[in-house]
Amino acid sequence: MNTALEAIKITKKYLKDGKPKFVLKDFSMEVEKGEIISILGASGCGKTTALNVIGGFEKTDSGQVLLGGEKIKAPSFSMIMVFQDSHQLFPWLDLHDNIALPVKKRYKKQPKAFYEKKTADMLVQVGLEGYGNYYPHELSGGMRQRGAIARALASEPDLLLMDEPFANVDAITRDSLQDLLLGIWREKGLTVVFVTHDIEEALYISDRILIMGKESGKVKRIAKNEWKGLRKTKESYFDEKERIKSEIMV
Amino acid sequence: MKRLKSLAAALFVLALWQAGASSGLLDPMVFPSPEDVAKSLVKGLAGGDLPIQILFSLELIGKGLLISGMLAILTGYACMKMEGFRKIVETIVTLIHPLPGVALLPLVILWVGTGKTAIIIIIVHGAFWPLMQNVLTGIAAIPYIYFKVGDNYGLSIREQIFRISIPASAPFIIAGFKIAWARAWRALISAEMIFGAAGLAGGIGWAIYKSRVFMDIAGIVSGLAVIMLIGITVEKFVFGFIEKRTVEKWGMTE
Repeated sequence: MNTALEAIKITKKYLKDGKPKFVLKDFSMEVEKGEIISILGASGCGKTTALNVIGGFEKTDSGQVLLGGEKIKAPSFSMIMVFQDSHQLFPWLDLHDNIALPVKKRYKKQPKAFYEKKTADMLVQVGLEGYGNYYPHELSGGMRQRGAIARALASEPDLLLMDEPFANVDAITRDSLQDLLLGIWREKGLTVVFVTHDIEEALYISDRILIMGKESGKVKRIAKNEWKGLRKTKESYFDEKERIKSEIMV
Repeated sequence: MKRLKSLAAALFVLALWQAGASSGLLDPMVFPSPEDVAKSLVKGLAGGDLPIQILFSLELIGKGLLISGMLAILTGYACMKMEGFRKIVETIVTLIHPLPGVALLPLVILWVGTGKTAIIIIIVHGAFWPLMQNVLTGIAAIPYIYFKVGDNYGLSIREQIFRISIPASAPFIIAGFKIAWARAWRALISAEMIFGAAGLAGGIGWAIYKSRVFMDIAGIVSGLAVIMLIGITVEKFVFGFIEKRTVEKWGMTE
């Protein structure tokens, strides 16, 4: 397999009453090209921090992140983050302009038709054709997350970083957003690091699941997942779910 | 419907005023009738100096607001980048904001005399501080996620200001300009009354003040009416127009 990204022994701590508290301790992972890997853990386990470090948004105390062998120092177009916040689209730009903004920044001095085509393609890809002239506040939470995914993919990043992107929408919308992600993954071969606290979500979308313990900031286990694209079907699914649950609660 | 109601209310007050004047309850030497005010207004607008005076005042206000706006936005951005500088600016705003512009007049006169420049300085003093305060509040209220997205997409410093900071704090900036506009008027009128005709025919403040000398009560009230009319027009049409095309369209009004 082809390694897209490596996080090597990342440690991040802060001092609490004079004693070091670890947010991340020797956090290491590899991301293969073309896989969806989830970082799964309870709130406060350090999974969002791990994602921020990977994307270059946060500094570490030690350790490093390598993307294609290059050390990551700051955020860039190589890795685009989709956030949980359903207000991540700029409210002062309509959906079309929100998506066109990174396209124009990434591909400079192209003819207008180039930008228009890329933007229109992305709208179709996420099922928001015809909504280009809508402002974010005129869209539902689920549609806004679709828009955020379109904006992220429009600049064709090597890696898509997703920080609980479907946590703020209702269950039905969440299912359809997960299917959307899998659909685009099948079609385009994305590489995704997906942070979630939802075990079923991790089982449904991931090739591999990185399980974090509750407080140590350590990686418990990186598991190959057999349930990708399948909703709860067999007895063994529930066994796996219960096993992960017991792991992330301690 | 709302407009009709406002219009009906205005007409009612006007009718009450006219009734008071016609019945002799209002002494025309103390307060003029609406009719006299209207006549004086028409006379001033058609044959008198009033149009020039209005333009003169508006020009000074426009310049004052432009200077205040540019200063506030530049200072605001510097505050965003430098924590220490923001603290200094906040302290200065707190100290100088409550100072009445008229209290600064002696100082301003010693610095630049009594011309247009002096009036503009007083206007900027009136407009800048409340605007600055709103810009600072607005910047503090910008969700951090916008800058995170901006960093991710490699936006330059200029784009961070014009494409994120300013639109993201637009509700506060517009509210700030509304206060600034009202304060600028107050500052302008007081400065004009004290300085006299700083230009050829002076401004509206001077027109009102001058009417006193001629016991022209209708002239005084028509000057006040002009100020009110311009105030309402700008509030409804200029700010209304801007809000409709920005914060209302963007759903940023709550």
